[in-house]
Amino acid sequence: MPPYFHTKPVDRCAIQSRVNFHPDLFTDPHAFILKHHLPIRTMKPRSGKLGDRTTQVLVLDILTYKGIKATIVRVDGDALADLTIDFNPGVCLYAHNGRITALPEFLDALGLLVTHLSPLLADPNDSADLVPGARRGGPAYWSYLEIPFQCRDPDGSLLRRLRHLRHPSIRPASRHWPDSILVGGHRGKLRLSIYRKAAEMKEHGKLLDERLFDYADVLRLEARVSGMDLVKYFGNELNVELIDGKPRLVSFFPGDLVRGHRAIFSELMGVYSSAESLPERGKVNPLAAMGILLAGVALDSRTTQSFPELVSLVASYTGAKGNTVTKIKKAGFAELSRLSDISCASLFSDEAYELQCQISSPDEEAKIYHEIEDTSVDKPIIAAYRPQGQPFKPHVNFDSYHELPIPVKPSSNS
Amino acid sequence: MNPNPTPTLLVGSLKISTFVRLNPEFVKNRVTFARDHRVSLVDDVNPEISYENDHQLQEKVASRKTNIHLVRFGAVRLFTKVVEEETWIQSIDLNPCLLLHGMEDQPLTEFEFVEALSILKSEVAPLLANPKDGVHIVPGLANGKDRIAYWSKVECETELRDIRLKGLHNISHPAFGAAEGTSETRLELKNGKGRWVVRFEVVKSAKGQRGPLGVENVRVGMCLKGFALSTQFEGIGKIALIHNTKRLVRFGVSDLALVYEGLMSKLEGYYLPIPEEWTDRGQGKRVTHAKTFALLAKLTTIPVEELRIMDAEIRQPSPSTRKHLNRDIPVEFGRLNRVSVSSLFQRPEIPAQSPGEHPQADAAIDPQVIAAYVLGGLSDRLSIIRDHPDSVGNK
Repeated sequence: MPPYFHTKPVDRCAIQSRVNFHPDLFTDPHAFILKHHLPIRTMKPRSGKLGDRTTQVLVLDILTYKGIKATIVRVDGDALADLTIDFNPGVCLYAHNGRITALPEFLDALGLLVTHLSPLLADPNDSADLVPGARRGGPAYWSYLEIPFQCRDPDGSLLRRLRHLRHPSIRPASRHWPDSILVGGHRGKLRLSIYRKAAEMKEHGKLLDERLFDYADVLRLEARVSGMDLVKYFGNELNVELIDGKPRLVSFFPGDLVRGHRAIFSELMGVYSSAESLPERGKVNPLAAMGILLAGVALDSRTTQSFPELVSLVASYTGAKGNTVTKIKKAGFAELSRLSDISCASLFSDEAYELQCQISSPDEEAKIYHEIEDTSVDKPIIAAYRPQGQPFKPHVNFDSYHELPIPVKPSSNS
Repeated sequence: MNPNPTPTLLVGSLKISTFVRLNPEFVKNRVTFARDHRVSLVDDVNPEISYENDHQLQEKVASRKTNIHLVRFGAVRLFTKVVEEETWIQSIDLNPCLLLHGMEDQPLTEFEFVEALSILKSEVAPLLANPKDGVHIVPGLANGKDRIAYWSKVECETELRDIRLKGLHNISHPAFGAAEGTSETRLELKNGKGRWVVRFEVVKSAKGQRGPLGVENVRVGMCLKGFALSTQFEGIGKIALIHNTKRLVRFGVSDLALVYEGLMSKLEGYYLPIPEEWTDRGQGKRVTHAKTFALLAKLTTIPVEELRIMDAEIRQPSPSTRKHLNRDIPVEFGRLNRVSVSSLFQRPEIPAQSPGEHPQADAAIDPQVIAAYVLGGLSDRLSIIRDHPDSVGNK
């Protein structure tokens, strides 16, 4: 088992921090942007109230395409302003998130973030407070992470089986679409999103029709985590600090993300095979028998409802109480596991994480151009996100890398 | 079975597409201009500024997008765009209930709808660069090739009372397929681009005899956009060609009710209520195998006999258990009675015309709006003038 992972699977994420911004940014943001030739795509200024004090809010979309958005909230009289950075490393680098970012790419994306946000600061040396973990005891921390995992599901059996899932930490019922499942409420600290990635990219205009066939079987299993669950799943003694009295995740190595994602998905009930055998005939109590029956009905092709939906409907129509429903569910999930041929260990093996399916979209990727120096990061940032001793690994798994045209910088002469 | 009295139609948010130029003086100083021209500007809503690199000029060029609220927040909303240094209104959001009543979810009479359109015109017209462009604020006021404005989105809803969202099954519509992404409180059908949307949403949960069996009130909303509007209102509202595309340029509240009824009448699927006997605590255990078999047979296409075979393989029921099942299953099966979901709907009611009591009641009603939106001929228009002598004027 390799101790090091080369992939750094991070999709959308968010950073919270508190920094000292350049005063001119608030005095006249429009003039500031033009004067410093900042790569801002849109700017939305707002004002509000916090008690008796006025607040100024600036929402900045950085770069000519999506990938970095900064929301700055400054309360009148305060030297520091609250900063929320909505960040998507894949979109920064590729204009889409069908690829699974590798460690060097993640560091490049952090470099872009620092490069383009530092000019907004009163002192560029404060850029360490833009990236969590760059400065020990600093104010920056990760407030949201989406961790993707992509695998092939050519016959749809994995997606079909996942429809019957339950996660013990998620209460709201799953929502189902033909090609996707959403688990967890809108405000939940832990949510799961499972979907056919190529179909989603095509719907958003990020993948051409002719490329859909190549990637139609790619299934994306995404964990969306915020709040204390970030510390629970990705934290350890090295990457959690107390900020404003609360434990916060301030950095992560690739292995932390892999272990956290694996832990979340391994907790699913009703999906993976188990060695449990069916209870002996004649010795099944009525409620357990009902659960086993409902599991069998849910797996029948004539049924459109998932197992949790069927249990919910039986409970809803009959008025079944908590304990009764629990016994039915327990037996049903055990039956689903007994009938499953999906191995959790195989599905989420180290190799599976390292060799995830990638979706490339050359038309989108050709739109991106960055100066090399814009992607460099300081050593403290590298130390926070790359384990000591991590070996170099060339990008040989990007099969379409050499197919891409060499990007040409837009000419200044029209 | 239809437990519902005739529901009332609630008109929601409407959208107008147009393209008229704002007065540059208003753009320069909104607050002063609005005050001087007696326009009820709610707020100088914070703009969004977009930046693009102009390679010829080798500098950043900024363009400003704003939306402007009039009368009250959310009642009338102008979406503007800067084109070659001139600011144009490209769309208008109108919420007639919010405009007239100060709150949403209020029934609207035909007259009140006309009144709302008149207020819209009277508030927006003074802001325009060219006064003659006033006919392009409300769709249907301009004629022939001069037409620019059309209705681009229409929303409305009714409420079904004492219905359980969970009792709705296999809901679909020929125009946009099956419901997807159903949650505990919402069931939605829409086509891929969202031009047709039907949404069932729980309003509140009234506790019944047992918590989980409490019935609910469910709002059923309809949202139509783009070509879905011209398709559904064909032969009902007025359709006209604008830039070679069929567009909806006039409709009334009763037309909306007709379209709503037509759309809902084509809904497929069924409503399966909880049998009264199942809510009666005196009638034995809540959860029984007989009830479960009956329910599963109704919800799926698996016959009861097959379910019994599956059950027998699991637990080998005793002869007495089999005997009880033989007796009970037909009884429970007979208690579960489906009704088609379309039968839950009837044509919604439009409230009778009544004198307006809202703050804008003393605003003059534009004769062009009356001419375009009050059907039935001169006598009906004259009756409006007669019944509301203080409300009609020229503006």
